[in-house]
Amino acid sequence: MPYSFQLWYNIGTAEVKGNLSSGLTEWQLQSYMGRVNYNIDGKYLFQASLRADGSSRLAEGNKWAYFPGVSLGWRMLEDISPDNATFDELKLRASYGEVGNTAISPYQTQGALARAIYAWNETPAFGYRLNDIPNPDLGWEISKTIDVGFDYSLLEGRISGAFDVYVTNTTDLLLARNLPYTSGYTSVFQNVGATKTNGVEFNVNAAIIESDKFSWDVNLNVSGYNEKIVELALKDANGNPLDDTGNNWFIGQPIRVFFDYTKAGIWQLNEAAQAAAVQGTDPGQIKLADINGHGQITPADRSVLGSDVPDYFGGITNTFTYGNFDLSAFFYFRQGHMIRSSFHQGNANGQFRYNHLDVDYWTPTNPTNDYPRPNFTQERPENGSTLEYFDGSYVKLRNVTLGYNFDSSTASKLGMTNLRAYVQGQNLWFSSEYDTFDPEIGEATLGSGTTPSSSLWAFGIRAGF
Amino acid sequence: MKKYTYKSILVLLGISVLLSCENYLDENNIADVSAGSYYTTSQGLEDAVKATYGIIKEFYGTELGFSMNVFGTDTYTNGAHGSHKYLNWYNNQHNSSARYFRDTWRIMYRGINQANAVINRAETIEDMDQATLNTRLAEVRFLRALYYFNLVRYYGDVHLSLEETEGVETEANRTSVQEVYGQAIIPDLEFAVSNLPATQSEYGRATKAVAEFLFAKVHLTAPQGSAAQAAFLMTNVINNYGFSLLDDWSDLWDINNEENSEVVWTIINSKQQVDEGLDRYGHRGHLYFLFEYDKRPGMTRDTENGRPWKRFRPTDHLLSLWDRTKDARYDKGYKHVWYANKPVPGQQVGDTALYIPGPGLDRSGVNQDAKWTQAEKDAVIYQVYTTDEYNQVIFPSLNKWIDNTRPNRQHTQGQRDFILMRLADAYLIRAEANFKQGNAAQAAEDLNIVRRRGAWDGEEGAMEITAADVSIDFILDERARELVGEGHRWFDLVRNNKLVERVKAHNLDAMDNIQSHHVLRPIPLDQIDRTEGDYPQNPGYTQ
Repeated sequence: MPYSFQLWYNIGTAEVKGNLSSGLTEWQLQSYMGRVNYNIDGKYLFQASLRADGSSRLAEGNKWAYFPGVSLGWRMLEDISPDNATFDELKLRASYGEVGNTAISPYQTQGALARAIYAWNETPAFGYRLNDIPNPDLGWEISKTIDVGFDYSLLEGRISGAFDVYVTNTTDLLLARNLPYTSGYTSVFQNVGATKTNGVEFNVNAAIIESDKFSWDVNLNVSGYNEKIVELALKDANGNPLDDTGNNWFIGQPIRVFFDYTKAGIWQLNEAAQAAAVQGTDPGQIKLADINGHGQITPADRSVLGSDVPDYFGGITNTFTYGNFDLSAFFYFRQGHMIRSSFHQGNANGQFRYNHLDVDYWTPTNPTNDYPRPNFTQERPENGSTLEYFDGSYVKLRNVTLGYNFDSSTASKLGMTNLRAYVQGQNLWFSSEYDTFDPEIGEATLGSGTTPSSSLWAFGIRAGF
Repeated sequence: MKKYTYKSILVLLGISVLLSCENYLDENNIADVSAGSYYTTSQGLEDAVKATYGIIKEFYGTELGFSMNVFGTDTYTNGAHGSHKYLNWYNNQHNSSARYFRDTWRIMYRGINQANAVINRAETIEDMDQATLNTRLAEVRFLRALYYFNLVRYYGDVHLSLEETEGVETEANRTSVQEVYGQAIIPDLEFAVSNLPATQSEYGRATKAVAEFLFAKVHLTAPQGSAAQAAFLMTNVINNYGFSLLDDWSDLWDINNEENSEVVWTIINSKQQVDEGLDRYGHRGHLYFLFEYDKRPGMTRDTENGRPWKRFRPTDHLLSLWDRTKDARYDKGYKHVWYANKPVPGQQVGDTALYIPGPGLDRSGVNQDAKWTQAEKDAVIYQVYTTDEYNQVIFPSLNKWIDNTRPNRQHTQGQRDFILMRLADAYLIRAEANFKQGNAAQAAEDLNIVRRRGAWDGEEGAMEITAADVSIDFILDERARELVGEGHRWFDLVRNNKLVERVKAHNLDAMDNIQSHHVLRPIPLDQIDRTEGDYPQNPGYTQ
């Protein structure tokens, strides 16, 4: 072991490598919390809370923060229309709350070293190199949310749901910030800026048909939000925030955006002179859009192409019952966001050394604007990253179940209290412009190693005794 | 009916105090160490010094380090595979977004910051004797000079910092080449030359000779450098430390003879560390210079013959440089015969499967290209590849870096040390320095020392040249013959203002693209994007 006090907590640093490793990361959160609930007649509701949190991960002097919260509720039906026959419940809510985020790796305020490998001939000479830049100013990221909404229920509960509008202001965003390499480091955790998020959430449950023989229930929820950066560490001379291109953070845009050149097509044979002058390339290669119109492709022609924030998303569940049969289908949708699929560069590189997507590639006799010319010595096409961006919008059938509940008489004959047989399918269908595979993988970037979601059929019997 | 009653008052107060200790939120990193606590001890400082060496492995011996210096020159062009052919082509992909310009820049600055940390913190070290401390400081200042020397040679004017980065640093300066030499490289090497010992107990540490060697190259390269000083320093290297050329040039590439009298300084790779994968880098030169033998009849890939990544293909110009009737270095540096390792009809394992007779007249004066007519080729069971058949997958394969000791045929990290400085190079640099001072006779003498050693037995006299033969072009050709594939070429050409001229003349894949601004690499776009304010690009680079 390089130093004695580490004991057995990092045996991977031993000079002889076995297949052994160990680690110890400790962090502490110390919290105090108080809450008061108060209501009058069950009609006027009030709640206030205050918590104080201390996090070991943050810098001395910035470890503690207070997070207040308050909410008000008014069950308004009795006051405004006590005899209303349509509505059974109408509740107006308003709240304000603060929450903190300290989700960074521990020890960032100290700056841990990393092992460097060297040797004097065959004698190991492991060193310890600078790895994390210590940031002695790390503090809490705080989100302050104002939410106004109402809950409703009508027609004896056949239709119910909620509607919310909220604004969240997040300050002192805790993010890894890329640094210029001249610093000797790649990035540092820092409180880098502020965002503002506006959102809407809506849901409704409706029993559309309810009869003895047949019923149809619908559950729908839809949400949407708009996230934008309002402040960054970089400021101009007047103190106005500046875009941080090196981190792909731009004022007015969400935190995670795709920033790159734009593919305008493929350079065609009759554009050879232009291709050379504008982009220094040849026909058959990807044509980049001259975004700033200066007649030459430069880094200033990169722009924000999109973000992983959808316009809206949600789900709808339809449940039908007919006699002993029931059928339920859950559709999920997410619309208006961008995904990056490096799968489409790695597997469409035009080299044809490995398995390749079936794409429409350019040849002198096939003047397509889809994919660039193939080349057996080309590991990736020129500006191939521009092939990776897709509209990630999709609708998918996540789950569908068809079931049959046997009559209790049948079940009891078999010595059971109930008996149900069902067939269930998961991920059976999706519809998306990105049609290579199910774009719902939970990440904004799909790599060549991404495993597509699997479709699943299940047949089952459930018996109760 | 209105009825206001207090129906319920619920107060919930949860207090969790796990420890009453006030230091509960203090961080105590047991598994790892931080600079603030560890670098203040003598052991910590020693480890910081080792790390300054360790960072250099990310460059020397990897595809990055080879690619930055081997192709895109008059001697090497690209083979079929590899993602970094822009370095050879000087096309529009030779731009600020290219990964290898970014990686080189990043590695050098990481090394510099590490060196700065050692140098700054050494002042407060108390438990280390002054002599050891001075030696370590001199080692680290030598390394910092090497890191900066690479930066100015690749990028021109660069950021200069002699202080360890503390806190969030988003600014960077652009310091002229001359000032980087004047403020960092030259004073660092002066300190290193004065303070490094002639020998070190641990093999691989920098010595006085190592610092003098680098300083000599700096003198030949820096605007304020002096050819006389370069010659003087190389004379020290040649005379003072007992180095000697190996009798047989082949012995330099014997993997069991790595620590030999010709080596001035190598970047160390340890067999144990590369085999276990502890060292992710190692010497990877064995991968890049080999032709695609493994897809030819009778052959399959094996450890003995290597894993042929076919990155670098020799130019016709390079292949024309050796007079093989006298000069043994082509025949000793390139592989001719591949023996079958997979049975095919009519051929046993161990029979000749592939034969690359090589360019020009062979040792016995036979023109192999003329000899191997199609009829002759058809008459033998093995494949013969003559000059006219060379392409991106078939070409003479440099065997300097073959590593048949790797644990398996796919293993990329080789155990060879990366030879950055050897005595033959010292002679060649001294020849260049003497020639630049107008002393062609002394230059010829040094060139002859190298040439005689490279001769076939009995041809030593025939290899000798006279002062009248010496020119910068001759010296560059001699450097190619002696040092091919060792990662100096791009610097050698740029130092002598020959890059553009020679690439235009000899590199078919680059000649149409290369322009005068290509003597500097582009500043990485990430650096420009991340720097507060404006960080200017090198002239000529639009993308």
